[in-house]
Amino acid sequence: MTMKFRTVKSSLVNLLEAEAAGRFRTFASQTQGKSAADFSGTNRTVRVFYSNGDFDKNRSVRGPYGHDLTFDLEFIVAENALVDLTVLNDPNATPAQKMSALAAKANASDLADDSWDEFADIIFQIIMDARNIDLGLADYTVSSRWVTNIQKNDIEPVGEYVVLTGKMVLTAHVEEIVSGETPVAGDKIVGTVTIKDDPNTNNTGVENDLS
Amino acid sequence: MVANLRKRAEQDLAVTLEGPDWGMPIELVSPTTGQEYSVNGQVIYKTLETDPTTGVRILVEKPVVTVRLSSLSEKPNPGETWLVRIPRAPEADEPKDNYVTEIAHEHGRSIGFIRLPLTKAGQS
Repeated sequence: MTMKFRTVKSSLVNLLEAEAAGRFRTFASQTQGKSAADFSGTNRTVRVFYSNGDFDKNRSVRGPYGHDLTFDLEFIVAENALVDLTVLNDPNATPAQKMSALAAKANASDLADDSWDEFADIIFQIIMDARNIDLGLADYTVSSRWVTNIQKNDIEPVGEYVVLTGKMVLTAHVEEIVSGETPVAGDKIVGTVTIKDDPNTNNTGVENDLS
Repeated sequence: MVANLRKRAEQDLAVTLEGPDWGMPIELVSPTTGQEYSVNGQVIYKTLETDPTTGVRILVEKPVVTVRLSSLSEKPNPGETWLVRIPRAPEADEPKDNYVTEIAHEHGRSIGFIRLPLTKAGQS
């Protein structure tokens, strides 16, 4: 049986992908050596990975085992400057037009900062939506899902793109049931349970007929 | 009369920065006059691997242009945003890409050149 934290992670990734609506991408692992250009615009990326788990020792040694999960949702945003290149590259444009175009330039660092803030807003809205309280899983599979922290790092301004990273920490709780590598099927109890109510005596009781 | 070493070093920029072996065609557009300037200069394309606190590794191109100040009739000042067009690769007749100067430039006051770190420019 797979540990539930893996099921929660998969469901979280699926939830974010389903809600992206072209606004961002979701990765389920840490990518290696990607180019900044790959994260620009709506390719801003959230990477979901399980970073920590705590187990309460004051529980039954036979299980289920309470598992407090921590997921790091890492945000990566990259932006370049924006300027009216149709004017600046137009051989017929006047110097005054070119001056205006350069004066209206949007700074890469401002764009990256705005994009990151919007990105964190979108992800928070998705995860903390009451309809997603189970993070896309069956009722009561996961409990206490909570965003405990949002952290934005300093801008990396050097280079043709401005890169801005950060993370959102999500915690939740699951009950891990360990069946071992070769689980043994439990015995079944088959029977009828009748709940009887005698209005004359105001007694209620249970009549069992187990076979 | 033999020029002092500093002047000779500046004159050598005609070879080391602008000469056919190292010089590449660079176009600059001034934000204060709107004028375009075409000079030869040095373009370095470096890749920077960033590793911020999250452990993210992102490769960022870090182009830097170095031009001789005496070849410019108008010089970039601190805080100004110039449009700079540089060849996409150090090959002859490569198409040019557009960049702007957002990062503070380094002014080689000793020998007479200026280094412009570039930020990519997209269409607004």
